[in-house]
Amino acid sequence: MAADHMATSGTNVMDMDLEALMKIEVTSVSKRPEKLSDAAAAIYVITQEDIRRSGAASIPEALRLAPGLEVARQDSHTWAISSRGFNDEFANQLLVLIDGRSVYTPLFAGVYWHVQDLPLEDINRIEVIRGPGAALWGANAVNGVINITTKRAKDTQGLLVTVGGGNEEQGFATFRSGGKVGEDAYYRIYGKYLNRDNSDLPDGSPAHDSWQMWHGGFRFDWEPGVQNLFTLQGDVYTGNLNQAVTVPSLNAPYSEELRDRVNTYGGNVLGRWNHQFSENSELALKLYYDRTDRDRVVFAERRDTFDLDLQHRFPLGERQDIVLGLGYNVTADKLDNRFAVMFNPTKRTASLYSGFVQDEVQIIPDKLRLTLGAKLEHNDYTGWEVQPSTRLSWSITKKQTAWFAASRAISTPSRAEDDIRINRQVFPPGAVAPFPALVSQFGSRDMDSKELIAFELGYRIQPHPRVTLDLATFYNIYDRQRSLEPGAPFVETNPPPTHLVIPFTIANLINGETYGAELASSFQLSEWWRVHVNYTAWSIQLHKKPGSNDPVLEGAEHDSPHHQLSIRSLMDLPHHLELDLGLRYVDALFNRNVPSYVAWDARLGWRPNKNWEFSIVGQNIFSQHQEFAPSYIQTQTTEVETSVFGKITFRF
Amino acid sequence: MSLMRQTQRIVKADFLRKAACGFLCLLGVLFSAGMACGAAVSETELKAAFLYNFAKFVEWPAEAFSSETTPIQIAVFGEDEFTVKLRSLLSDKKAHGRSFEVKRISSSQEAKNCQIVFISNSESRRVPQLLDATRKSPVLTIGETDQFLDAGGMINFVFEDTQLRFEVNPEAAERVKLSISSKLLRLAKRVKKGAKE
Repeated sequence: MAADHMATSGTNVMDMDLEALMKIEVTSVSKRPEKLSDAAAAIYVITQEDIRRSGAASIPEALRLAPGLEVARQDSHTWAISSRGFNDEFANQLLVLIDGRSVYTPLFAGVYWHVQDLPLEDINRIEVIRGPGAALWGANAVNGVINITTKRAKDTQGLLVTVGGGNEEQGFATFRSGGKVGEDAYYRIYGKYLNRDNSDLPDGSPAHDSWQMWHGGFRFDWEPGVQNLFTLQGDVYTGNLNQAVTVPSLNAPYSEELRDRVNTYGGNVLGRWNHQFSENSELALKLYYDRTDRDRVVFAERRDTFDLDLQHRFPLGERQDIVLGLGYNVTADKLDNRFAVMFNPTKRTASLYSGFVQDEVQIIPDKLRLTLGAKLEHNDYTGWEVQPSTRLSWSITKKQTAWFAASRAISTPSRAEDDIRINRQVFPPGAVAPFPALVSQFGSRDMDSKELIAFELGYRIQPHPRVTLDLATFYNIYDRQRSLEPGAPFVETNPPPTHLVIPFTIANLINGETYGAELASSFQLSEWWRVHVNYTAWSIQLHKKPGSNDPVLEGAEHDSPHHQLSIRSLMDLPHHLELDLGLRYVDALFNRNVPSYVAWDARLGWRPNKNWEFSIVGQNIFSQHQEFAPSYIQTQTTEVETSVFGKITFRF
Repeated sequence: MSLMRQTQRIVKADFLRKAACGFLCLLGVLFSAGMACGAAVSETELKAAFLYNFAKFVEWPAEAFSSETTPIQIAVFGEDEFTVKLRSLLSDKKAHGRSFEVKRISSSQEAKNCQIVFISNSESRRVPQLLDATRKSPVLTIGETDQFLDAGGMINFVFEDTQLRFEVNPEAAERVKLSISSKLLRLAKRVKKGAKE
């Protein structure tokens, strides 16, 4: 076996027979399903191989591989992920899809990343699109789209078992089994468990944020003939998340820390039919149902979502490729109010219908391509919205592409922006008034959608067969962004005791600009050694519009890092060893009191044969650091600790 | 507070510099260690070896060649780098008593007079066009795109993690009088059958 691997370079391989060749492992699988180099968007694809080599234990960790994304771990289970600014636990301008199912909660429009806990081995690829994708994907695809697709059942046949554990990842296991039904149908079923330790508070004592999660699911693909593919897939999960939240209180000592054990569960089922009329023409019909349920000490949410989506792609004449789409989405929630967070009303159903058209025109075949698209949608919050985009891609030579895009994208108000009241803080009697004074934030039904006009310019070049450079730059003009406007204090008697309310109400009175550049590069230094270097620079200016008295505007300018650098080295060493090292630098977040940090990651893998894989992963090896801090809900500010774990994978 | 933060930043910047330096040193050491032992197999080499084997296990009808001694012509639709590598790896090889001639092509019409066409992933958009052009000629079509066999291609490369596999569509081959040996069919990850005509 070892001989196969070492009997390597060049001519020897030519003398092997097929059986021997099939045992050989390729050092770098560069295969990408489509040609990315001429896409007129800032797109980056994270492949299954990238995920495996990164040592990531979760999807957010894998997302650190993409340039331009800000991925910050707020505590053991909570992540703040955004692109091109405006990062928060409830970052609301990024759309995240898993096999076409939107996974952000319309409540805050943020993503609960800990429940998006698929077995990483089942992921086919993660497409990360920075910048607006609204013309195709609709509202909330303002600053980016993360599109996670899982493998076809056909590609996950047989048995897969992974087990592992370490100081932070205290135990995890995945089981997957795939098989064939009859001639044309394949399935897989899987189950996953994980148990993660507390992180640390800045003083070194343990935080209250350990968690466990159980996740199970299936996928069934039926391919009767060449033209049709039917897919039925689903997941169920349940988890317990420890959390300590500081909530205000109208009685002394006017705030208390509540130790919470959040119960969360949910599930979804998705069906899809792809029909191919011809090589260039296809129809896709997709529908899904999704349930999420979460009971926190600060509020409880139950949500049911139903979504229907139809897409048709066909050529028009020699040079045009048209895509038409229609969609309908309805989501109903039921919320439980607690003193810290309240919603009025507690039940609401919102529907959204949309249509889009996209036309890709080959102005000069294989040279100059223009893509025009627009999405028209109607939502219950702001009515009709139009989101157009223009993209132009110019293949200067086979190895050089330049592209330009101009788009308009909006993010509609979330349920919270419409209906929430957050009680933030209580001043004791005597501080502001003779009785307790409560600072409260109110949502507003007058909230309008937030607008972005984005200009992007990109350039890709392969100056040498072993080097690729991908540069994307952007200038974003934001209008009607969220501001917090102080209102006239008033006296409230319920709940007792009588207290003064200092209200802040959200409005759309901020505009501003962001601009920046994102560079992704890769260097194949030799057959067995690859290095990726990504760098992101980002800047922002926000301005109050006339009539705004927002007191915290300045702060929002510093929620995202101005500089990020990542260097990754992937090496295939003799004896089936893999050594992968990573270095990340993230600039300070002044608004959150988060200093800049450097983190080291490493993975040593050994794959003695195709059935077994052993790896040791170290994350954040030399330093303990803070990555983010909570904003709206005062959970503990924690530091990310050094994590070391071992993992065994068995495939058969 | 701000002084503390400043100090922290200076310390961090210094640490970053040291860290980066250490990283590069470590890479250097590993680089020399790796060089000493020799490299593993690249994707290109492995594909070349598979192609060579395919040539051995496929029989062409006599009319596919102009004479007993004409070489097997392989056309590559894709990167130049692959073409060059394939040419050098096949330079001293023979199958069915014939040597190989490897060329890179850019139009599907050129493919008709070859015996093997390989269409790389980067040219996936031209798969239909190419298969259309070779539909009536005894040309073994080899691809590496998702729907290659469904589109009428004969052999398709697929990766199973980092190991190379292939799928075969024997009907498409038979239609142009190519015969694929049973050994190839046995080793294929998938044999496409029952395609309707």
